[in-house]
Amino acid sequence: MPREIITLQVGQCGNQIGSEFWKKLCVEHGISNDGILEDFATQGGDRKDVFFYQADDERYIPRALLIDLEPRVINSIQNSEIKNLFNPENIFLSDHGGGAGNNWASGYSQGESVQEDILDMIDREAGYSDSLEGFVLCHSIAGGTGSGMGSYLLEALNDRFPKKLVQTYSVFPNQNDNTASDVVVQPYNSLLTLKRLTLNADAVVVLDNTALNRIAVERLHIPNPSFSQTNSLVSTVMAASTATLRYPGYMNNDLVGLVASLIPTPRCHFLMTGYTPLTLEREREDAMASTVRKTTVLDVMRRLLQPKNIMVSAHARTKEYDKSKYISILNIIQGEVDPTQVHKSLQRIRERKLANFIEWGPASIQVALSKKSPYATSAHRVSGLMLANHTSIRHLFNRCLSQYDKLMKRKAFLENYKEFPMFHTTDGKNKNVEDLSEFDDAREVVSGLSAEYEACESADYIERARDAAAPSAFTAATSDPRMPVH
Amino acid sequence: MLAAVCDSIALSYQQAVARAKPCLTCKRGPKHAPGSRLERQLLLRLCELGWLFKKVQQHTHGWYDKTAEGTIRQAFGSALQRELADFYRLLATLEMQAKQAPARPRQPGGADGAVYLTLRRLTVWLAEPLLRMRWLALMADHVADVKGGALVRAIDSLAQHGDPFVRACVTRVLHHVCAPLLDMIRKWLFDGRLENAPGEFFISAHPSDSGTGGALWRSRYWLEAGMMPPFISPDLARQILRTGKSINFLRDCCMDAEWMQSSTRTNLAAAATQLTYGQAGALERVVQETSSSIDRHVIDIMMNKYRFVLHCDAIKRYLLLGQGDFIQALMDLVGPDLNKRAADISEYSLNGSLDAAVRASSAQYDEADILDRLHVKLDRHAASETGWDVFTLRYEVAEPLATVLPASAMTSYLRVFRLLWGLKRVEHTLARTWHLLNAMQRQLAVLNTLQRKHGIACPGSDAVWVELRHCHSIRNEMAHFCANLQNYIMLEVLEAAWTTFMSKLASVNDLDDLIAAHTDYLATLLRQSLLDSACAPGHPDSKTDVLKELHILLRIILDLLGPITRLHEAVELATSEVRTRARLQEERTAVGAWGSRAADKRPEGISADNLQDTRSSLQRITREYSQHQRLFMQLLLSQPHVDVRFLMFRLEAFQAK
Repeated sequence: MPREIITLQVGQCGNQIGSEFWKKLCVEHGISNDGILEDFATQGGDRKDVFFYQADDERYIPRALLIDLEPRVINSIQNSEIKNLFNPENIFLSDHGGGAGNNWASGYSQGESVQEDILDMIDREAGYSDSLEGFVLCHSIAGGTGSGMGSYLLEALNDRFPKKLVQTYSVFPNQNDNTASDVVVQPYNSLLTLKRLTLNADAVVVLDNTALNRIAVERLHIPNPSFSQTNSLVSTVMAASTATLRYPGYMNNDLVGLVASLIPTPRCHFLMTGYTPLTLEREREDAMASTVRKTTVLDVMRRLLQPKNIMVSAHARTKEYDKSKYISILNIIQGEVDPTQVHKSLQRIRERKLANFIEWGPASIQVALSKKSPYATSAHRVSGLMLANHTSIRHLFNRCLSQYDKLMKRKAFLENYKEFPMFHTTDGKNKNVEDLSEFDDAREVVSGLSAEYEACESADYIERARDAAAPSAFTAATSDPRMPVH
Repeated sequence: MLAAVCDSIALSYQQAVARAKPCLTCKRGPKHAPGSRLERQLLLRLCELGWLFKKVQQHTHGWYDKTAEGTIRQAFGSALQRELADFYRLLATLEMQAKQAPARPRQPGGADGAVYLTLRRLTVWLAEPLLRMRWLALMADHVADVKGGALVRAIDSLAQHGDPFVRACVTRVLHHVCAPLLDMIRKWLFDGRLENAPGEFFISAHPSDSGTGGALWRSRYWLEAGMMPPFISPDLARQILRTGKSINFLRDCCMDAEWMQSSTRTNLAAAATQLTYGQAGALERVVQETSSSIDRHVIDIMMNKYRFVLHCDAIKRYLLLGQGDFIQALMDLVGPDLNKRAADISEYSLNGSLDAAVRASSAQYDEADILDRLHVKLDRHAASETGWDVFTLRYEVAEPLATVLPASAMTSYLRVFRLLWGLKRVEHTLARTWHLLNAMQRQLAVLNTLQRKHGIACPGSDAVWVELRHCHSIRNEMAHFCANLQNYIMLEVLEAAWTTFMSKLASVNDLDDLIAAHTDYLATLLRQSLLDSACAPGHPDSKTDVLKELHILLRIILDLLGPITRLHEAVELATSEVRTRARLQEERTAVGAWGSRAADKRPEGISADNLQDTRSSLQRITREYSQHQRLFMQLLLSQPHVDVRFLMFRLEAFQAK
């Protein structure tokens, strides 16, 4: 019963961070680029079968599907050093290879048209598992394929596997107003994807490109960080967040255990991450040459609460800072840790009031200690990942909404969307009439999500649910007079 | 006259005694004794010697066949015999002189010259033997009804005498007496052989003990305080005991014979044969060296050949749930079985599930030696009990590991296992509940979409929505409690105790240390995880109350799954009903008819009864939970252990007041 997890990497960004993730897993488990277990990797204690399965020839093959509508990124993976790692049957490229043109609607409808092929692949992959626990989707929400096709897949997975968990690693676009984005319709795409992330995913790990860039510039001193550099940060976070699944210990050995503790109220399932110490591969090797730095648990836990280490935009974190609250925190600490220090650190953090928690339910910092891979070299004895559910994330959604509103007011760039059946209806005379109800619906869901997070900041969150029978954003149905509501 | 006395002494001690005895008993002395007072006194002294001699001689009589009284008594008899032999020698000389004397030339200025050996002269000659005889008799009296080590001690107490003559005399005897004792020590020290049939050695054994389950080390041998010779301190005695035990332990439990022949041991054993009484320092040195070398060897064999730490780690991983993936697989596999009544479950099939769990987790890479020791056992059960109540996971240990991990220790481990397993079950149930709640949330969203698209309302769905938030709220509270309790046990109890244990193990010198370290470790586990019933002074019941309260709490948490499963079923049913209706409408529209017709019944939705049922169960659970949770916290506060307060801290951490 390994509780397998199948990874779907969709689109350019999804495949980039996905392949970085697999590279990292291979290093951590002592698996060569060809999927063969290295001779030195005998120490065991790890669990490879959650993310890999073994082929007949003993090769470890990632439980991963590589999906894209244009061949560039996948081709480069197939020409890279990990070209033999993946099962070639698990690679899906659209026949025309034309991509989705940064158009959510195109990605979504192409997803719909090739759903048979992809679901067959997923079914086959699920067949390799004894007790499939769920899916992990890697994508970005701004482009066309990752957002549009990813959205379609989220809905399809819900439909086909209603009992399986769906977790996503979603890269949020650079939202800085002053840096011109290369995708002008990114607010449309983000909003439409966010709706699916809200309704169809169980947990979303938010990877905010704005913050990743900031961390690369400020913390790692890279003036113009490249995608591969920020992706390296992402893969570090992804690997650390799956550490307890791969190195079994007392607790948090399955995805549901991991996310259930973080998500007390299912709508609010958008998780922030923080990581320390932040380094890139290159730097790590330099540091190895000098000395291994000593870090205490308290250092790690305190640094994880510092905004500069959190991978969510600064504006989201600082806005209405006093009001915002943690709904939950899980710290995954890897390395040589004296377990008795954890209690002291928790005590210190509480004394100094370093974290502000919600008032309507019990909440505290949970700590999971996990083994560090014996094969991956690291300059630090202790490293920590924070997965946090924090109400300030709503500012990220609000900014999405405001950017969307700006575009929508002008009805800018809508032509490309209207080509697709989702955004037009046919009236009697067979003439296309624009139908933007999908946008309205998405906007309602996202603003409802933001409102829900805001509601979490107040102490009477639970009571409010009683008063407002059902927030309209989620269930627009009129309440039935026969039912007693109290 | 005098010559006759001397003669008689010399010729026959019996005669002498016979004649002398009346001198002692009769105040006036023998008839034929000369009248002078001085002579009478001298004669009296000689008579005393005779009397003492007889006493001592009686004591030695038949010493060689008194095997029942043990070798030490034999040695004492032989020592006395030796002393008497000296005396005989003297008497022989005197007799010769008595005979020869008349032939000697007359000394100028001598007395009447008729007799060389006068009474006076005889007294002088015999003064020293008299003193010696007195002490011999004293010794013989002293040890009349003791044996073995106690005998040595009794004599030794006489050796503490200021007179060097006396000391020398007693020491001479002691040398003899201690020889068999030292021999016993040597045999025990180097061969582990216990020769203690008459019970004279300071180490005793249950001869019939089979030595399994650690009995060899723990209870087969013990120190007899009464038989402790004076030159062996209690510490040294313990060391000697341990050394011999170690030899037997190595031979019987570890099947390790080759070490016995090692050269350092032979050298030491050779040195030990030279030991005599009075070389306490040397003895201590020999014991020291022998025991430290064997202790090192025993620890080495326990750690390296029998891999003690590996097994402790295995127990920690399997019985204390450290191997999370294995435990998860096991729970998935045996869970359905355990929901049945205990009487309906077969141990055999559970063991099959155990094997499957091993294969399904990274436990499969563990050594066969470890995995073979794991098995499932069902406790004896009452009719009402379910599988969960009687399920236990066992780890078999054989000798020599069983010496450190005896059955009582395994029972303690089992108690911790039960608590952890119970918590794990609750954790699983809560995860399952979360799953169901999420599934419902999604179904409600589906219902919502269907209503908007097709206008099919599902009665009751709004009420479910409200109910869900309450379910989440109570589930969240329970999960927080459960997770923190588990976290506390994992970090503050298991891992902390393990770290201390490991650092102690690094410095153990002998098997006793090792056993003590492990006992401490286990006691800490029990105490910190609220399982120790003996640590609440003044409140004999309070500890068990905490545990009882905890079990009630866990039971209440498990109850949550029931109503939520029922609600989920209702929602699922309603969803499929609405879906079917939507499909029907689509089909109708496709053929150009009206989607919905007046004749269509409204979907049943989620019935009010059903909801009411869920609501009342939830309210009951919430009420009971908060009530018992409060009680539990109160009881926890009254716990005398500071460490349990860590748990308090965790449970209330960050909670808004």
